[in-house]
Amino acid sequence: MNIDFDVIVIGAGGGGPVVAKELGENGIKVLLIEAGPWYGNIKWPNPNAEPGAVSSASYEDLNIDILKKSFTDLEDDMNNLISGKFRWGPANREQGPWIRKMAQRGYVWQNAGVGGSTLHYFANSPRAYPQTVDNAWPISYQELIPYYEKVEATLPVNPAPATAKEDLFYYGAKKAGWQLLETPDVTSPGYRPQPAAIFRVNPRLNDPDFNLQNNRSVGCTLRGHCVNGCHIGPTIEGVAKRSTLVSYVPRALNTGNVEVRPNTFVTKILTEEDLEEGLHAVGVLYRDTWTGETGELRARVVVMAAGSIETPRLWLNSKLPENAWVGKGLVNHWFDCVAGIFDEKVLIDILGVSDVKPFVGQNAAARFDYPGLGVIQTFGMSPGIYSSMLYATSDKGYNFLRQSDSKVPWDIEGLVVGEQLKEFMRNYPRTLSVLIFTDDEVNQRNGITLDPELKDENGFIPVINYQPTKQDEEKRDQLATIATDILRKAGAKTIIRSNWPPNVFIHIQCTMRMGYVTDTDCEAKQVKRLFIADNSVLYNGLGGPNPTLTTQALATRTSVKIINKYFG
Amino acid sequence: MYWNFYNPENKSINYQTENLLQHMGETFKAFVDAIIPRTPGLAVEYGRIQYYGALDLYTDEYLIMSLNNYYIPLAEPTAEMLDIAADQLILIQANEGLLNFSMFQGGGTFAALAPKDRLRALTLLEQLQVNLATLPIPFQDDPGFVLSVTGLLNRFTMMGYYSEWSGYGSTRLETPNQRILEFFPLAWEQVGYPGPSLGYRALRG
Repeated sequence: MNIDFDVIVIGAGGGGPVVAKELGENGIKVLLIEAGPWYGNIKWPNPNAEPGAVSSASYEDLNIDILKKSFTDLEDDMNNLISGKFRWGPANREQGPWIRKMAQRGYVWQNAGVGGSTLHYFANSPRAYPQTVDNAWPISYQELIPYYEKVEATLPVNPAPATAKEDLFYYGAKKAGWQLLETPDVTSPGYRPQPAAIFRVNPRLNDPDFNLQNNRSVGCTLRGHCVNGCHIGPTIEGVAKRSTLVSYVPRALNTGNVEVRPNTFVTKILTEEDLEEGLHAVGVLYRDTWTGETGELRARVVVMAAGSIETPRLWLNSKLPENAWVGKGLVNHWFDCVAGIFDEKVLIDILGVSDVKPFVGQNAAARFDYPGLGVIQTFGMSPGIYSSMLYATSDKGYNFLRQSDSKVPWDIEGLVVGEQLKEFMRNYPRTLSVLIFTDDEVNQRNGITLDPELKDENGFIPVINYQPTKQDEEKRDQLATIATDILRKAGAKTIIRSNWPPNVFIHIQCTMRMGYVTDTDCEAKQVKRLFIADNSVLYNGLGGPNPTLTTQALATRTSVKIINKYFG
Repeated sequence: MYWNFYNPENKSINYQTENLLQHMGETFKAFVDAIIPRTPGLAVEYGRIQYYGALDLYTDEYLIMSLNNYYIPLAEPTAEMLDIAADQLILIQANEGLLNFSMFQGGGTFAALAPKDRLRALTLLEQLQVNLATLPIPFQDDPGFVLSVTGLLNRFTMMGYYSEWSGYGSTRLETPNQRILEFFPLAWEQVGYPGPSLGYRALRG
């Protein structure tokens, strides 16, 4: 058999680069395929304007100046869902985004590109709640711990630093009677600094002589652009926010065994069947997103890490064996958003400053965990994304059309528009906002299917269905009540609950669950030599914590299993 | 499948298309004006800068461009859909204001509604209280698509207004790679955002 690589990994997002680095370090030849562009590599000096090279396998190709030119800090340029550099679509922005179909109101917020959705993520890296793994997952929490520790050291993960907005949140949480959590293995409710995959703050930051304009040193500068693409650092590998673009990918290249091929969409998993192994993966078909050219690549092992929508889509489009759990079980943490607006005087009394500036500091640096309910965490960003999340996303319609309800603790609910929107946005520097992640339950009726008719250049398009349960709704309402209480205790004069629709997809997980689609090594039960290393293989929603760290820990473990079984 | 840029300067269009374009343009002007209006009251209280709204920052063009750069051009059918919802609002007598066709001349029923009634009309769509069979393709009989796009309208309006986009000035309708930030967006001044920064000396504790 003609073999191009030992292992092909599909998708350079949160999980794929972890597998590439771990296997590369063990002398295994890996091709890491990515559908989107590569920012910060000399082989793609204009990643959105011209095709550039086919692939890069050299650490020396990485270039911080190209990254700084590409990541403009401008929110529409970076995060517009249709035309932004961080969108789910091809590198060429003169083409439209790739289609997903949904049955309800909402949207999918995912990135194509080397780094995947870690390009825009907040780098929040908490562990799962132990109680949601033990006695549920087919593996124990204890078994995950060494892999958590390895990822936490590699990224690395640090407690996030406090600016005014985090101090205000801690003040409110403490006053509301909650405890400070001191352990990464959370078993009781409380608040804590965010475990963040972000370098520590530059030690010279508060020094008035430190020149921010010419800064090329290591460390976070609290500039509030995690979501718009971090480029602060001396080299690609030295960039402060630890997306896989700057953490695992450089290390993978450094092994000398990993080649990365961006702008390449995998459209089919190739399989063969024999007596010894039964059905097994032998390679992939791909399509170049610039030229449309298609081709075939072969390997001993294939790893799917295309994300919780594309991995099941690829399985289904490849006509791999039927399995009642392929694409099913989707959880999404059914997000919500709550914010408080503060008077200057209140802020001065508590913080000694007259505002909290949502655009200053890491985007999500303080959190509250409640095993059994979910998560509340602060967020602050530039005003376009901020207003569209807080005031333009709701399942409850316009606030001005709502009947007033004295039973709810918040003052405003739903979409805020008109003069009230402008008044609230005038108070943007004095607004403290939190996101809610619900511990939603796995349900087989939720998930990804293929549209029976509609195709794009990569195959039948995915259709997403998600309906939370009554219990999910109750947990979410409890979290919104706790968040309101924390903000009220901190002194907020007006509290707004957005009440997001269920179908805003950010923490997309569990569509190829371990134990159902894969065995405990994350190898597909029905297709040997085919592994999964993204959020789709998670058994459940972890209780609410942000999924990336657990996916990365599991991908580290899966790499060990691949080596032991096929390259031992 | 490919980008189809909205170009108001394009003169090579026939008369009928021109009417359609004007109808569409006025419909989205009316929509963004309802979401982010000019606010003389806030200007009196907090200074002249607070007067300006979405019409001053061309947010209607942002909305049309965004909708047309979806995988299928959506601006025209969306404007048509808003008119059908407005007719329905009038039919069930759920409007509170009077129709005024002189506000956005060349627009349809939607543009003639009072600002809050425009949002009431959109709400009929969000609650699927309009006969979906009467909607234009691709919305016809597709509740999921109606809900997706009506949700987009609110988000795009705020993203267009409060992001850097208005600062692209004369290049705002170019393809994304060709745009140049020409000036500091007025909306950033309204909300006290100083623009992108390389760092803040804001570490506490």
